[in-house]
Amino acid sequence: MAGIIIYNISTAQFCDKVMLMMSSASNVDFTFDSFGKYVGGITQNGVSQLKVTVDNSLTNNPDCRWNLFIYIDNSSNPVTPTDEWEAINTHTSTGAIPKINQLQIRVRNRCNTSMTGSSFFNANVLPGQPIILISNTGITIPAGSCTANVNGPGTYTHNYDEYTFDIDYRLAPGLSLKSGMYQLRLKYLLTEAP
Amino acid sequence: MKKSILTLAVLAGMASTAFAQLKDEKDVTITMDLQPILQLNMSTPNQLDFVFDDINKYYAGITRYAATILKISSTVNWDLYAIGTSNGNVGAGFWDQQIKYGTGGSGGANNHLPLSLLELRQGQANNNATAATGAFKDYSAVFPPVASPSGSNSLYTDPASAGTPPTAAHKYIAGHSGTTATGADAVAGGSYLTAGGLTSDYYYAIDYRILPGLPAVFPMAFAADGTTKQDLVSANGAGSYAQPGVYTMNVQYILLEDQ
Repeated sequence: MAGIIIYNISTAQFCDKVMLMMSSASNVDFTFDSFGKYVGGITQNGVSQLKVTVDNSLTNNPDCRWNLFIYIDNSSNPVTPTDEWEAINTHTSTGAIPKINQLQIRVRNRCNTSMTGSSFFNANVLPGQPIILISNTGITIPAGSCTANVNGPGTYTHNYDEYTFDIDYRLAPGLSLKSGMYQLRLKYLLTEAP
Repeated sequence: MKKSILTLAVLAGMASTAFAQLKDEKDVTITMDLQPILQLNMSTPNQLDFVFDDINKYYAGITRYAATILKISSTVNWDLYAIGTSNGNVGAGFWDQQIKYGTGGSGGANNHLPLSLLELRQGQANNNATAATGAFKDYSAVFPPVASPSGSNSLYTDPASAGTPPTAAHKYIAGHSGTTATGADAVAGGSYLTAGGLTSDYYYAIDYRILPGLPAVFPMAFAADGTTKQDLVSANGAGSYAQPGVYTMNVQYILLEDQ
């Protein structure tokens, strides 16, 4: 029976509900068909919007906190190197396959709660490694604080500026890449803090 | 037996109260379509006229400096060459004769003017042609003096008029025949907009010269190899000279991906 008790503790739940809503096209397409786009890049602002709801109104557990991560996946094609975009097809024999870190992301809300700041950053991670937007520091920063890393219970309906995230994407490939069609999958993961 | 049943019941009860970590996730797929771009911007008059109406023009020729400006932007490795073409109304590989003056002369008068009599000079040397094997890798040499005929600047032509690209033994403006590597026979992707303008590998000012000589045998006409003479005497025998008239031809600049 003692073993059963330990098992029960290890799966303790701190929040009653976590919910991530996203308004976005399922595909975000970047088409580089002019020299200006290659050199100047393409920015797509507000393409994805995340809305977070984390609720503990039933249990009122003070340890209810949440994390928000981005994971990047390029592994649909098993031969894709870990740091490169997945090549769907290529048009030329010369040039380099784009690296994952050439994707630039910006995460915005009015309170700048994301740990990534309010500027574009390069997705300098490998598949399986998280980009941390809201991290688990062990400290609850309650809704309404309007500061970085707000991670307490709350919802976008009450605290829009902290629980809504506008996602911008930017790509500036330059002129050294191999022409072709490439793909990445971004997974936005909302979890309660363990 | 009763104890076992009780244990199972408790286990079942505890399992029903076990919670997983709450999660929610959403996915976005990002697609990047890098379309190959080869862009050749050319500023030039639609027609370049060379009018030989003075004896000095026959002797010294007519040079049109920087009559054509070539500007390249490319996202892929590339080559650039020029090729002379015509409709071939007097024969493949020769200027088209639009009209002849009078009776067209007598004796050795000949209307078969080789396309290669047109000379080009590019303002910037071909810096990506170490794999070239011919006598002249490009058109960067100064126009040779009248007294020293050379094929260093004679325009590449395909004798069969099939538009066949030049080989490693012929002239390219930039890059060269083959797919070895950038520097050897290809220019890397780039643009005149970002690569340093007038002195870069992406910007070429092209001069033209026609030197008839006197008699008008066009001593600077050489075959694609740059060494085989095609002047009218070499091609047709002593006493040959150009039949007076109006002739036309076309120069094509071909920008192609090095693959």
